[in-house]
Amino acid sequence: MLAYIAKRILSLIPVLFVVSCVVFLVVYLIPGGPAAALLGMEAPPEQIEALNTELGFNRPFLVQYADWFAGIFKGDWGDSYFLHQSVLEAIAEYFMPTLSLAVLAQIIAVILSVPLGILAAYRRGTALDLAAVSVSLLGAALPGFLLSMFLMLFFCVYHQWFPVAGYVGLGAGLGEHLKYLFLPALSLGIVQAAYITRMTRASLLETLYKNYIRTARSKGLKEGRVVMRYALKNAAPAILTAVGQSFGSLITGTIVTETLFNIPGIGMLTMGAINRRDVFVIQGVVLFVTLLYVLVNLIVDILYGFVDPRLQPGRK
Amino acid sequence: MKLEKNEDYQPSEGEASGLAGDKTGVCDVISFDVVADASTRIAGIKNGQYDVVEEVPLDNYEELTQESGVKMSVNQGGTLNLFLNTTEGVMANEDMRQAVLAALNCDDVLMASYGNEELYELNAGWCVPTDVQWGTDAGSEYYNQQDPEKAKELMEKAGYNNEPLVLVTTEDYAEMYNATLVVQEQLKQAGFNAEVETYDFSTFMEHRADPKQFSMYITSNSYNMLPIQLSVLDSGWAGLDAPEVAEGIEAIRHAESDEAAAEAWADLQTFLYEYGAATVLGHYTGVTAMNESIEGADYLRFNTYWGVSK
Repeated sequence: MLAYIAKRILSLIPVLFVVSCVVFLVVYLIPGGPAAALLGMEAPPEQIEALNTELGFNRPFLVQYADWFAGIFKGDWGDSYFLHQSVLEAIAEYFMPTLSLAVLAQIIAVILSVPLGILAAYRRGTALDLAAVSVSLLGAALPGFLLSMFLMLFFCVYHQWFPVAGYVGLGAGLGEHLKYLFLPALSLGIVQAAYITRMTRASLLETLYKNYIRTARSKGLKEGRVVMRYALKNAAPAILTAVGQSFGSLITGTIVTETLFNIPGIGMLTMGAINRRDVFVIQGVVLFVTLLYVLVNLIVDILYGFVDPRLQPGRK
Repeated sequence: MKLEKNEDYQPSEGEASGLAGDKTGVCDVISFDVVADASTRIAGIKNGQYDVVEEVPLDNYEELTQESGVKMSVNQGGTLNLFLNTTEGVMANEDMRQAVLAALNCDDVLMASYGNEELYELNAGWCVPTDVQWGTDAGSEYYNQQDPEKAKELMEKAGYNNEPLVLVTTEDYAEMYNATLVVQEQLKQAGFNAEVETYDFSTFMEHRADPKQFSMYITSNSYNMLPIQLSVLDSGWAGLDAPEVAEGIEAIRHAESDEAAAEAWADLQTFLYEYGAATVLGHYTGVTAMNESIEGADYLRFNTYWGVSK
């Protein structure tokens, strides 16, 4: 197992290299450097040019990239021109809200989707199954930002049960923390639940008709035990894959929700950096997000082994 | 960002009057939240989470005027301006620039940008219209002409051969983008081959600074304290490099009296229109929404909150 984990981590390096190179090249090719954004709309072109030169933006691509890449391994991911802090500090600061949001959204998604998927599979062909599939299709089709705005309108403006926007850290208390995160997490969770419901239903349907399930029933086991202990356990790897992919996309893809609910997370950090051509922040975030995505997949692979020992990574 | 009242602050003496006189903080704490999304700001003022919301989208102005518990503050903000390329390409011809000015219907442009007649003002001046010293309508005969026939005559005189006119813009500033689309349409109706190129803000800034990459562009610019600070007079802004500009600035700087300075500015403003360097499209406002219990918030080119209370 340890050798497998080490091998997976080492395989990250070429991935990170390729991703960072491509993103650096794209940002390099986009017109405009950070100077125009730093100095404002009415800055004369010679001032903008001078600042771009001072910041090193007029150097050749390979020189800029090599400079930055060499710094990564020393823990120097560069500094943000706008935030006046190192990229690593900025990522650490902005990542915690995104993590809180992603974890809460994932919990909501799993609570909504797994029971619904199980019921839909167990009552296949019935009105319940049809309703579950329809609801999950609706969740998949509805744009996330639209759902966020509906929730904001209903729960915040019409009923004033929740604040419209903002973020409060855990230090202020769990209640306050959750009060600000609940609606954005619900919005994200519903969209993710749509996908996990369908995966749960599909993988459970596959196992419910297996011979060992028929055997379990013929042994006289209660139906609940058959479904939860035998069918669900065998369907779990596929559900785990769906949950893992879902969590990966939550960690990396919450820009719109963060902007709407004004949560200072990685999404907002990235959007601001792109608009302002804050190159090192863009690079740093992309690298960090790639790392996270691969680590989430690795954790899912390891968890397979707990759910089904036959799937234990590194096992011969 | 949280600001706490400084209990040891010693205010100036005298009655509070704009930037002068007494400035006594009333609130103990004022919090500023940067909320990027406009719809979130609107929802926040409606549900009471925010007491003051700046940068209210003008599309929401009417809706919020009817919202109970909310009052609106509308203040003059600056000018929406069309800058013409005076040095390169087809627009380097003065008759072509005058043809563009002739074709413009500024009322339509401002309506498209700001959506409500209460939120803009048609005025040819580059400074605050009510400014005692610098407010002038000099050159207004060139402003808002709405004369496409005159434009066609001038185009013919200039020998225009359907060369493309490139209007660069950015969607990052909705009022600039909407105005550009309307100006494009007006120019097309007058017979120009007008094309719009849209970029993100940083790229737009690069293009607008290089006379080889635009024929004209529109920007919204807030008011300056003095007309000599106007972007239109800066050769790095849209390439305007006429000696009359430097002479006009010197005349203002060395004027022997306020009246003489005002006259020098009027002459310079007239030159800008006669030369076809640029035109004001109109004066825009900034809209702030407040909880109706808010008192003491003021506007002096920017919102000020030192006297605010709830």
